[in-house]
Amino acid sequence: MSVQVIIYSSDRIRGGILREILRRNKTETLLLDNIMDVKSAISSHKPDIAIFDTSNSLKNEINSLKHLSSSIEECFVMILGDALIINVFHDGNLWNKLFLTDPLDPEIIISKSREILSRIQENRATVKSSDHDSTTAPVIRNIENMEEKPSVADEDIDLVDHNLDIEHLESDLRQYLKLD
Amino acid sequence: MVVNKNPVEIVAVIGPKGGVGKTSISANLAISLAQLGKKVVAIDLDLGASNLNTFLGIRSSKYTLDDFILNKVGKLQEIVLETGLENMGFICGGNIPGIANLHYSKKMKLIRNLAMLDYDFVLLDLGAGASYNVVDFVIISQKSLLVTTPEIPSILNTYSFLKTLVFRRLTMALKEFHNQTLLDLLEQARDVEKNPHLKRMDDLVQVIQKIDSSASRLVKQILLGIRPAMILNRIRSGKDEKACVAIENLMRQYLGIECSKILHVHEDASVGHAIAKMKPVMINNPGSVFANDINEIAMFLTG
Repeated sequence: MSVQVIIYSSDRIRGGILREILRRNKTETLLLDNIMDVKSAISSHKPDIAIFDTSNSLKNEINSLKHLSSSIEECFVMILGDALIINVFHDGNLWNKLFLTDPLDPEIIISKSREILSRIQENRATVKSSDHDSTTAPVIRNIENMEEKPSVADEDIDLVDHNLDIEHLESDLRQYLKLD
Repeated sequence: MVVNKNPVEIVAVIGPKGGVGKTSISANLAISLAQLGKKVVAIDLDLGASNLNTFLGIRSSKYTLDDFILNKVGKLQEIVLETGLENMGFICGGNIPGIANLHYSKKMKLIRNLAMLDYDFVLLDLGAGASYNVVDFVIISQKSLLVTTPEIPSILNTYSFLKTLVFRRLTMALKEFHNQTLLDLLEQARDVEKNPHLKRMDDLVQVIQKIDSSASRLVKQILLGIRPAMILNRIRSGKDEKACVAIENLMRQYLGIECSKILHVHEDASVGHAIAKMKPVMINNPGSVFANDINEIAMFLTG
């Protein structure tokens, strides 16, 4: 199985929500709650995106995440959480980072993930056709400019199974509340 | 002294998730009620994490709830502060260590004093979470306003809060029957994973009926009486407004309770601007979308 997104969250509910919305968006994900596992999963699975949800994390976990995020160059890193905590991630390498502050907004996360994945696909195709070395870093670097043109993902954003769809929302709630 | 002839209406404002805009709504709702000519006191009961004063633009206070908790004053009325706004008083929250775990006797003293306040509305700005200290203030309130945002974590916490509220209220009532079987049954029903046959309130009521029919009648009466209003905050689109329908369905099916009303508060930049200025939105930008939504809530409360 090719894992496109690795999620770290020590908050069971938030992590579950992230995994579920990405899964429904047909994105292969791996949810982890241990930073050491995240580190080894990134090197073994080579995901396109790593999502670090800082909510509920302890100070030492935040420090480890900060250290890990600054050392990652092979994939895009999305950092979620309280604005004050996210601020500590703002130094160093920012070209492959995206910061999304609370409240957790599945619609934005899905939209951004789709945008990033779509750009990576595009860039890989371009690199392959021009027969260049397809290292991930130049692919990622092109994502820096992704705000310049709207992606296809934006056009059908309403189709994303965000919490606005009552049936899906109710089904999600039942699942999380173990009412099924 | 002008005596307020009508009984005081205690309104609890709860945001089980935390960070959903509860305090901003409480502060501005109190002002809106006061502007409608109602005599209001806003009380910061976010014990241990109080900050309602900052939303009202009050930088320092002569008295706080600590003075009442520590018996420095005898009556709650003595620590009501002037807000500079007509018809509106304010009680600043306490921050003494351990206040979040208010002792039962202190809580009861506070509850008794709330009912004695000479106001049309006593607005309680309660803390996040579902601790019994929060739940009990909701139980003694005539109306409760549950603040949530459309995001799943907030909705989940709101449901969990309601479940705690329902079971707390039922446990209190069924204790009067001195029947341990009933209490054990309630405990089992809390854990729907282990006891799926009790996951719906109807299922539970039927089992109670077999044990004691008068207990089941009481349970039904209590459930009919739990009718919180839901405030859906930070709505960004028409679709966001639907989020409450899902939780309403779950409330009805699994907890046996209904919402009395769903109220909408739309995302509005004026809230952030007002907070930055430490001024209530109702004063800083009374014509804003947020202010209009708050006025709607005030109209709902005043009937």
